[in-house]
Amino acid sequence: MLDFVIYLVTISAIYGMLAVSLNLQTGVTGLLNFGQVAFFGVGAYATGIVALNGGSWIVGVLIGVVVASLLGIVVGRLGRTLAADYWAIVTLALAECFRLIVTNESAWTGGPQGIGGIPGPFASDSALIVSFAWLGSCVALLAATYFVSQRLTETQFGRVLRLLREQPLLTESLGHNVTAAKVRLLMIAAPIAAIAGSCYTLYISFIGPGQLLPIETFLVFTMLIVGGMGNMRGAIVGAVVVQLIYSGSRFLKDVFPIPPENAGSIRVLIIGATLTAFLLWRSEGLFPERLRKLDADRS
Amino acid sequence: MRDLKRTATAALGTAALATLAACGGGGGSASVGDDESSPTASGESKESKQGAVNLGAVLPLTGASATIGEDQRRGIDLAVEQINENGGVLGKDLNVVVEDSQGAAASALDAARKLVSVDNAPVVIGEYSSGNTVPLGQFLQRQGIVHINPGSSSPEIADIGDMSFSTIGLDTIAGQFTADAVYERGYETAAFLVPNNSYGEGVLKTFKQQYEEIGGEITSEILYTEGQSDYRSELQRLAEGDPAVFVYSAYGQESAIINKQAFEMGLSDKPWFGIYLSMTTSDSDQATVEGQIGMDVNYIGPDGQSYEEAYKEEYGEDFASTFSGYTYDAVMLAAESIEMAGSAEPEEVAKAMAEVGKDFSGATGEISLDEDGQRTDQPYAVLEYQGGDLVPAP
Amino acid sequence: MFQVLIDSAVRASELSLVAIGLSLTWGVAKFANIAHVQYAPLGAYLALLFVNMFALGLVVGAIMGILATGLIGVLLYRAFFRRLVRASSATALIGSLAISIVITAGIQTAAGPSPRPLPLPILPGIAFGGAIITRTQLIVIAIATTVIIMFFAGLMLTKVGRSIRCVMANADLAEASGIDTARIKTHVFFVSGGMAALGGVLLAMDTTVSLEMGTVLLLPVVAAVIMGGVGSPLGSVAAAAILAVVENLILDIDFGSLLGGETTYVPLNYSAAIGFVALILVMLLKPQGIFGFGGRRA
Repeated sequence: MLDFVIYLVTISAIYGMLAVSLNLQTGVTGLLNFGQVAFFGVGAYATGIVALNGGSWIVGVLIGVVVASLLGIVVGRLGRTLAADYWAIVTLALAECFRLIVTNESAWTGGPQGIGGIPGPFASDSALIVSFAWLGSCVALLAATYFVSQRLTETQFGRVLRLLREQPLLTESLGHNVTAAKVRLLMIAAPIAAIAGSCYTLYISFIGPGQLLPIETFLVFTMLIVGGMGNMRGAIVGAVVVQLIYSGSRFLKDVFPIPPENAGSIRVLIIGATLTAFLLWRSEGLFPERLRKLDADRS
Repeated sequence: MRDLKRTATAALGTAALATLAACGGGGGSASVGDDESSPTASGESKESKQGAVNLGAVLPLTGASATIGEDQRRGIDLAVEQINENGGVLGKDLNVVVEDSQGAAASALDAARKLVSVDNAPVVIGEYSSGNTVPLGQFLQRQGIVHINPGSSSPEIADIGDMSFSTIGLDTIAGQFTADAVYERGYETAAFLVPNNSYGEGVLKTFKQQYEEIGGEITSEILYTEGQSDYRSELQRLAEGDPAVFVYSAYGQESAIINKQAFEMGLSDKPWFGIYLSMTTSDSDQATVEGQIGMDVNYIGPDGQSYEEAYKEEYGEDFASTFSGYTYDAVMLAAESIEMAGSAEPEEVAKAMAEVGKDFSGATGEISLDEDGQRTDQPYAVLEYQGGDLVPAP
Repeated sequence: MFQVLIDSAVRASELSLVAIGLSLTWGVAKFANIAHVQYAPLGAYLALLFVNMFALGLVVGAIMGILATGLIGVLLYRAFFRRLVRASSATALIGSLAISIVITAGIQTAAGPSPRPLPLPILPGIAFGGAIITRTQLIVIAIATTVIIMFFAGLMLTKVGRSIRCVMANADLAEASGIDTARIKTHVFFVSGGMAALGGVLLAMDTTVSLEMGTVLLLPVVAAVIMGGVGSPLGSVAAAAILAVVENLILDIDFGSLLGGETTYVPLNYSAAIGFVALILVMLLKPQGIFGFGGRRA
């Protein structure tokens, strides 16, 4: 039981990093990134592919960070001409293309069944010690990303981003290079997601294209809405709450007589219902930011 | 004030769920009784029981292979019932906790994690599709838990490790057998259709090697993306090479669509050879698969009579697939190994299983495991689909 | 060659029906409802439900499923989307995400994850000119064409149709000139939901009733809507047709022989990418649509 709880907390920490990364993009800057899972996937697969070819995990993580950063630049420059909801759909399409390539280029990526048996960075005879090592590392990484992001939002750059979210034209007229600001932001947010991806792959020793489905991005959006967009504390709380709901619902069938064939879809239904409920009755989330709502028509 | 109330409600809700998770997960706590299990068949339950020997199973109860997964579950049920009627294991009842892999590797791993750390299962049986069995087995190997593969046939499985065993034979022989069977019937050109996963890749490789060696020619080979609802483009490409026979393998529900569309396109007038014919025809409309031939595991051994009868009695029908016998044998093998080891410690059980497996009489035939824990011989048969039944082909 | 035409016609029929609806609601309510594509499997599953539960024929069951889906579309708009759009179109977009998840998971919980066929006889197809077309495909093309023509007739010739076009052009002006925009929006959501459901039923007749129907349609439908210009149903039909032809043509061309080498085709596993690439290109190069009918959005 203890092992399962440690697992839950570790996974929550990893999703927390994803949520912080997405929060920087959507909550702070107003960039609706429906392809967030692609940044995650870059880190995850970089680590996996390097491991497949016998390389060290450190190399994998570094490659993931660099490639994600480059991808962030590309995606940021795309945002130049597109309104927020259009950009959202383009990012979704890009992420799906990435997933398609990963699924089909089996020689590189292990194809549809992914890459397994990936050795992690912790070697020990005791599975419990390894679990704790993972728990510690992920929580530490989460704390680091939290502090970095929090500081970022408190700087001048952070203020420019929030202004960009609310009044892009005004930002431009004040002399700020809007595209450059978006690109800079993505170069920070994307690697965070990539690191989360690398952690995930190394932790469960497996990565497959099933991890790159759009539902993963939507899960992170749910975490942001539940926790509160625009603020880092909210992102992390949202990650923990949603993860608890999602994993906790696995046990519903042990308590209620739910046929096992439906257990999987009921869990997803609960997530969807949670998101819907929050959007209707508490769209600012559990921890509202002062400036709450996004307005895509003006960005 | 309202904000505070809302936040408090959310926090309470989360705490409630967390408590649910903590209670529901553990075996035999106050709220979850240890005598009444879930409202399904006798042997298997969804939570572990106190005072019983709890094993685990990860099966595709949902997804493209749901029909097979359900049948695998039946095999487990029958074995558990049989064992408990004869006094159980180590003087206690046997209980197998079955989790749904949803046909995906990540869910399978998630399920395995729960079985290992919450239900404390020393043995986990699973899965069906090689793409899921291999990561599952690797995870269990790392955790030091015994793994039994009852349904996958990719040669990769032999490399998982010393905690991994199989009751079903691997594909190294299946591909060759198919190639020989097809060529012997005078089909010198073939088009090949299998799913794009490790199972499909494995069987294609072994088939191709043998078939080309004995003089056959493959006109086109297609690894189809699973889970689609339309396979016409694939079928059109296959037909283009004008092959003498279509050799294919597909999971039940996808196979139903493939067969239906092939029929509509007029391709069923040509010979079709199914690899694991019972699987490829399990959900298909009769008219679309009438007359197909194929190979399948010879799924009932000489000692399998009593198992077959027990199955018919419990479920009122013939075998729904060829795979229930293998999970039945897996549970039997595990039980006997635990008895011989005198304990449910995974390491001891593994050692015992290697011994017991050398000469084990299962429902699916004589099982004799080699040093990789794999079956040394797997008998196959060539069958034909006639009026809803699979009969030996001429 | 004929096969490409047949496959394209069938694909275009299904895509257009769903795309018209999305184009309409996007233009009228000013937000991208990505749950719209889920009305296709919803309609198909409801049709199956009515057929099985009430032992009605396929036709009656399908019509009931379509009407029910139209109603659900209206309800979702009035109870949910309308509120979110007031906040911002981005919030409504995220909301439509939530609704898609709820619809898919809801269907799966109620009906199970396995695909099911509609009760249609399985018959061999009709061959001509080296191609095969099934009777079902003929019906699909016929019904889709009829409905689309009726739709445009309604849009152009009836009073309601005129009102809809007014609201799409300028909602405030329309309101000022006495049009009940709220009622018009209700009509639009009903018709859109119904047409998407019809698209789903036709697709299910041709293949099977499955959950992934909606998700797989999302990007091609959005591509068709944007290519045709948001708010221009005619544009989206034209774009859907072009997309369908391109999809089928690309898969049929032996690029290898063209370039003087071995027989090489585009791998089938990448067929979905065609829609994605089309979408990305259109978004980057001509977000107002290739015909320029759509309002300036970028």
